[in-house]
Parts: sequence; C-alpha cells; structure tokens
Amino acid sequence: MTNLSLSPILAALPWEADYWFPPQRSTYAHEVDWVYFFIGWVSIFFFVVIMAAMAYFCVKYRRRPGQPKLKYPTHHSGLEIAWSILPSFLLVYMFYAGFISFMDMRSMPDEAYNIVVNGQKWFWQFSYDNGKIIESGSVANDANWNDKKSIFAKVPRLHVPVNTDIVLTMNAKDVLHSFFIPAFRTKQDVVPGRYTKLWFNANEVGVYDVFCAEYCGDKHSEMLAEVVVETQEDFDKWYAVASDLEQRFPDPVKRGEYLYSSRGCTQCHSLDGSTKPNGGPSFLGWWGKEVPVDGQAPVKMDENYVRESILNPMAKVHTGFGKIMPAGLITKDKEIDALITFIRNLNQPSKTETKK
Amino acid sequence: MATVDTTTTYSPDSKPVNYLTQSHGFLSWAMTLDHKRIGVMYLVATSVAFLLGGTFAILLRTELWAPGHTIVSHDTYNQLFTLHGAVMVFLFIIPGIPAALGNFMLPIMLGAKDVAFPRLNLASFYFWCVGALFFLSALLLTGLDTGWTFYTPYSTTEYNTSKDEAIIAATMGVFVLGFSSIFTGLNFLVTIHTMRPPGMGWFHMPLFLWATYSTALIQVLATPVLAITVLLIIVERLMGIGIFNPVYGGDPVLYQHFFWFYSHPAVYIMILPAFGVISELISVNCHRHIFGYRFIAYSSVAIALLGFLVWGHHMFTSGQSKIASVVFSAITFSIAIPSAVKIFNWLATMYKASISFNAPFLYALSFMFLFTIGGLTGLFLSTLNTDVHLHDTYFVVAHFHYVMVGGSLTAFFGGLFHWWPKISGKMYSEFPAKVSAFLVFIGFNLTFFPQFVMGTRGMPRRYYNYLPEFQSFHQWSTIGAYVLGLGAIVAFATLVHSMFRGKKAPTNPWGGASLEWQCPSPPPLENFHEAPTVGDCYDYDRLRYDEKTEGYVMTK
Repeated sequence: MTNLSLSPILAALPWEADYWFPPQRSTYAHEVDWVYFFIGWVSIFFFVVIMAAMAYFCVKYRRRPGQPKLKYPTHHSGLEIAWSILPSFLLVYMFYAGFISFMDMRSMPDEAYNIVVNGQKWFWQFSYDNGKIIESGSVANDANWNDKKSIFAKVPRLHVPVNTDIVLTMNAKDVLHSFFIPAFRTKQDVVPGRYTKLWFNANEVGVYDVFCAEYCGDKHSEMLAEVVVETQEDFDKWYAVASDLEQRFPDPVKRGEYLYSSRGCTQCHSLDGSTKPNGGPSFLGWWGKEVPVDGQAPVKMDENYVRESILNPMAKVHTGFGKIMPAGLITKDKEIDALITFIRNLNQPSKTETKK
Repeated sequence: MATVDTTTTYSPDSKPVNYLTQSHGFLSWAMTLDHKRIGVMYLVATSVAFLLGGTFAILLRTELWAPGHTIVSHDTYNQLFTLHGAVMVFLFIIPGIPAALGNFMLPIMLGAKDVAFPRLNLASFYFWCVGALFFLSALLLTGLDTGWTFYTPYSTTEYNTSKDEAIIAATMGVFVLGFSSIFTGLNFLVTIHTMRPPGMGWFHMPLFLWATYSTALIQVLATPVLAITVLLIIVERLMGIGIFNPVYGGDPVLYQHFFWFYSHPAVYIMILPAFGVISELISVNCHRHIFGYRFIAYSSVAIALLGFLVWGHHMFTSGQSKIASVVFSAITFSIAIPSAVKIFNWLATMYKASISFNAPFLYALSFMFLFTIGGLTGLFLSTLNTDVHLHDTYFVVAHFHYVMVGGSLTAFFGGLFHWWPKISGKMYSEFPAKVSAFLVFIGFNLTFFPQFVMGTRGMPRRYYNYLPEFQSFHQWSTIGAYVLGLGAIVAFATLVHSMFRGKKAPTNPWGGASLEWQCPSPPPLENFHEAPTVGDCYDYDRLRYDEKTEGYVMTK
C-alpha cells in the first residue's frame, strides 16, 4: 500500500513475530505488524540509549567523599532544540505509516460479500442474505475453560470464502460491543442505534478466534465466535446446507431446538424450569397456565402468547422479570411455528407431534 | 476518622511549637484552615483509598490466576474492576500528588503562610470525603459494574433496575469529587499568581510549582465537562430523556466524546504533578542545577494545553469518522515531544552530577525507567492502524498502568519519602525504604510487562474468563501484583514506623535549595518565622553539609 514501507527491512530483523502476534491472516495484517515492529525498534533504541546513559551517569557521577565539584551546563539551547525536533521526524513517519494503512482498513471495498452482524448480550449473530442463514450462539455455561475445544463448541461461526473481500455491517441490539478478530488485526465497535462497518479479506483457510472487545456486562468474556475461512467450494457447500433449515431439520421439534440454541433464547430461558440470573421465565412449566402480567390481566401461555412475546416482547411482560427481551430475534412465521412446537413439546412430550 | 487518630498520637515534645503541636483535639484538625494539616488529612485519606483500590486489584489478579472461575463470580469480578478503576482514579491518583503533597508544599515553596483561600481548601477536602462516601455507598449497594468509564448505554439501560442507586451514587460521587478537584485547582492558580514572594518571578519557581500550576489549569477547565456529563447520565437514567441511549433517541458515541474530553486531560492531572516531583527529586539528589529549566517548565504547560486536543485517540474504533481519527492521531503524536523533552532534561541533569542514592532517588530512577516504557508504548496506540488491533486489549491496560502506576504512583512514593522529614519531622529508615522501591519496581514490571505480550496476541481487557493459552502470562502478572502490593505495604510501614521510632529530621536533610528546606521540620503554623530569602532554587553550591545536625545549611 505505502511506497515508503519499511516492511522488507523489518522482515529481515530477528523478531520472533510469531511470539508477539497471532498468525497474519488478512491482507492488511502485515501492514499492522510491520508498523508495530518499526515503532518497537525505535522504542527499543531510545529506551536502551536512555537507560544506558542513566546507568552510566549513576555509576560515573555517584557521590564520593572528597570529590571535587564538576563544572556543568545548566542549559544548552541548541541541544535541547535538537532533541525536541529531531525525534519528531520519526513521529511524523509513524503517523504517516499508520494513517495510510488505517485508511485502507477503514475504506469499504466497492464490491464485496456482505454479512450482517448483530451483537447483543452475550452472543453474536451472523445473518446471510436477509436472514436466509442465521448463525448464533455463545460459550456454553458448563464449558471447561482449560479446554479450547470445549470453550468454542457452541459459539457461532462466521463462514467466509478465502481471498474474497467481506464487508460486515454491524449493529448492536442493547449496549456497545466490539467485533475483534486478532488474526486479521482488526476491530470495530458495534453500536446500538447506528451501523458500523468492517471489511477484511482473509488470505488463508483456517479457523480464527473472534472476541467481544468492548465491555458489555456479565458474560462479556463469553461473547466469543469463530471465523471459518474456507475455499469458495467449501463455502458454497456449507451455504447450500445451512440455508435450508427445513431440509437440515425436517422434524419441527428439532428445528425449534436449533432455533432455541442459535437465536439467543438460551441466554435467558432455561429448559428445566429454573430461572437464569437476570434472565426470563423458563420454557418449561408455564405452558397452558395463566401467566401474571405486569399491569394487565393474566394471560394463558399458549401459541398466541408465545408468538406475541417473540414479535413484541414488551406487550405482556411476565411479572417479576425485567423488560429485557429484544424484539426481532425470530421474525419468520415458519420459524416461530417451529419454536412454538418445540416449547409445547417440551411441556407435553407425551403427545405425538404432527408436522405443521 | 482515622485521619485524626494516627496523627494526634504522634506529638513530639520538640521545643519549638510546630503545626502538629500547635493545637490538639479532633476539632483542631477537623476545622483547621492550615494547608499543612489539610495536606496531611488528604495524605491519609488518599492513602486509605489507595490501599482499598489496591485490595481490589489483588482480588482481581487472584481471580485471573486460572482461565475459568477462581474465587469470585462474573458479577463480582465486574464490580471489582469497576471499583478498582474508579477508586484509584478519582479517589487516589487525581487528588494524590496535588491535593496531598501539593497542598503541603505549595505555600511553603512560595515562602507563604498559606494558600490564597484556606476555607476553600478545607471545603475541598470535605467535598472529597462526601464524594468518597458516595463511592463507598455504591460499593455497599453492590451493583456498580459499569467500569470506571460509565460507558453508555450500558450505564443508562434499565436492564436491572436495582442498579439505579449504585450508578447514581457513583456518578454523584464523581460530581462531588469534581468540585473538590476544581476548588484545589482554583486555589493553587490564585496562590501561584498572587502570592509569589518578592524576587520569585515565574521562572524562579521550583518546577514542582510549574507542574502543579499546569495541573490546576486542567482541573479548573476540564472537570466541569465531566460533572455535566455524569449529571446527564443521571438525568437519562432517571427521567428517560434521550441523550446517550439510542432507545430514547440518544447517541452512545456522544457520551464517549464528553467523557474523554475530561478524562484524557485528567490523565495529565495524574502525571503532570508526578513530573514536578521527579524534577525536584533528581535535581536535589544530583546536587546539581536542573538542566534546561525553561524547557521543562514550558513542556508542562504544553502538555496541559495539548492534552485538551487529543481525546479522540480513545475512540479510533468507536465509530467516529475516519477523518476525526486521523486528526486526533496527528495531534496525539505532538504530545510525545514535551514528554520526551522532560526525560532528556532529567537525564542531562545527571550528567556531571554528584548523585546521592537515597530511597527517593531510587524511586525517581524507577520512574524514569517505567515512564519511558509507558511513554514509548503510547506510540503504538497513537498510531492508527496498530491501535485498531491493540485497542481494548491488555496492551492498553499495560500502557496506562506504566504511565499511571509506574509514573504517578512511583513519583508519589518518591515525593512522599523526599518530603516526609518535612511533613512528619522524622527521618525514615533508609534500608526498608530502598527495599520498598526495589519491590515496587520488580513487582510492577512483573505485573504489567507480560500484559504487553498478551495484548498484542489479542487478549481483550475486562475479561473474567480467558482462553487457556494466556494463562502463563496471567500467572506472572498475578505474582507480580503480589510483589507490588508487598512493596507498597513495606513503603507505608516504613513511614508509619518512622513516626514512632524515627530520628528527628534536620531542616534540610537532602540538600535542597528551594524554600521548603529553609523552614524547620516540621514547619511551624506560619511556616517561616521570618520571611525567607529567595535565591535560585536549584543552586546547590550555596549549601554545605553540617555534621552536627546531619543536614545541609545555607552558606550565603
């Protein structure tokens, strides 16, 4: 990108780049790395010079008995002006190098593959082609934090084709989040009430960690995801399967269960009758019963109540629970039907479900 | 009031009456207008806040020993880091050097009897206490988990209504503490403008006063913005008026602009007085005129002014416009110059010097080491593209701790040991004081250096759980925190011990040439029995060591 790049020189220096950084897996990652190492070397140079001088003076000019007073200058304008101005050339260069690469990272490519990203407490949701595929999830509550496999078992996966410009259009449903992919060296805050964008072009097939980098509450550290970079062929195959929910899960109960675990319901609603902290009512136990409602007459929990609560969560809030459920988690009729089937089946498992 | 107890138990039977023995009893302290007693009360109060904030830090680091749950829950962890940040920033670092050491030293360095507005000074202390009470109530209500930055809309959403009180208490605390800060700043500005003695022009002042002056400028100009911002949070939270929360039509990024417009200059409120302390420590212990006085003085003012123009560098990834980010990045680099100038000048002061290695000087050396790293790592964060990767990771955590702890806290300890003979009238024991400087230095580096690596590798900050690959770094960091904590305890224990067992301090134990070394230790109520003669406050050739008093005396 920049003509003044010191990248080749720095690459020859004996830095253990792998020690400091995660792997370099986007087209602009190396820009970030060489600027980092450039600043690193300049810093090390100045630090060593300053510390060496300090140590030398400490030894040489330590107080000794009978030592005669040395004559010394109390100021030297030339020297002081020099050490104020000369380093600023380096600073200007640092600014310039960072600026060029930043403009590249922050200018969206004209033609790119678009994916919508939603952040909310505490999971990411990736939506392809207006919701044709929605991937979401988060770290399981019983994950073993000493085992990376277990941590990432249930996180959502952002499938993208390799060597392709990808633009993420991002929005938050509740509070600030930040989409951070260390292997791509990029990060963008995800803000409620506005869209922010992030682009990358992954240059190697693989699976890379995604973190939420803006503090968002209790499970901020569980708001993880993965980017799955795959060949165009593999991506197309994945897309074909993932986009057809009814084909993937012919049984509406299974489909409902998938929706339950992938659309974020699991964050607040348990399946065993217990109440999650700061969560909502369990899916088990209320079906067919009268539900007390804030400021209104009680309502029976049936298909209509569940449907209304999904589409307009604030209409009838179950007494004793916070007004915390976001709207728009599931909007398609077929999917709502499948989730209702799942909830009903959970409460009345003896009855045989018939296909809708 | 621990303030009164600890200090009244100490009453030396020295013949000349000093500010400590002038009067007795609770009210003589609680209602005092003496800047020295107010300074001591601030010192005790901010030290208690430091120990409290430090305890939170130790608990945090212990939790992070293992990747998953270790000792506390998610929620408790979030409250701990919130309170650690809020207590350390608002109750300790901001008032630490200016209000405690500054209050005590500023009038004496000017040869004055007191600050310009003694009553405002006392009011400032009581505002601090009220602010601290609000903070403590937030702690007892156990719910404040917004981080010390109170980012919206997290801090203004009703997702858990029981937290209203905690957030209102904490933000009211910030509001009241803001007044405390403004009062102190205003007082110092007026005092320096109007009460310099005959013969002391602006460029004859000790550099600590230039630093305090620059700090006061920021306190008076920036703090009102923070006060208004936290009031807006309360208004939004209580009345649902849309300012920052998009649900009511507000904009969360606006909050970040408001917040950093204060909080970035506030970083310089924390570090500028530390620069002032270090200029004194280095020059006095080198027994050599400070090198490049004017450059150091101007650089303080330059930092104070430029500090107002760089707040957007906290927001490169926030969603602010790219052009804004570019401009903020450019201005941020300019602030590196005056900071570097200071380091170079201190270094040049050591050239051809005659260096005494006492504990304050060791703290000053430690400051030079740590602040240089803190300053240089700032370059990675002011550069746009590297900041995109490093923002909100442990790299940032390490960077600002190198500046605030490696810088301000180290300078606070150094200054405290340096001026302790003047404040308490007692000499501390040199050996444990040096041990404390060593432990703080080692512990600090062990805690925060691994965090640079962790951050570069992508470990985000404010994480309760973390990936197993980061564990060894976290464990080094935790061990370091314990060593650092031990160092701080040794430092305080050394000082407390000296109050009971310390030798009586001479007027001028280190050979300083500024006016505070011409009044008795501890000073009498009116500071000077007769008006001191003002000379070059960095001319050490006028001093001679006197074996009998084990201190320095003026020869001409």
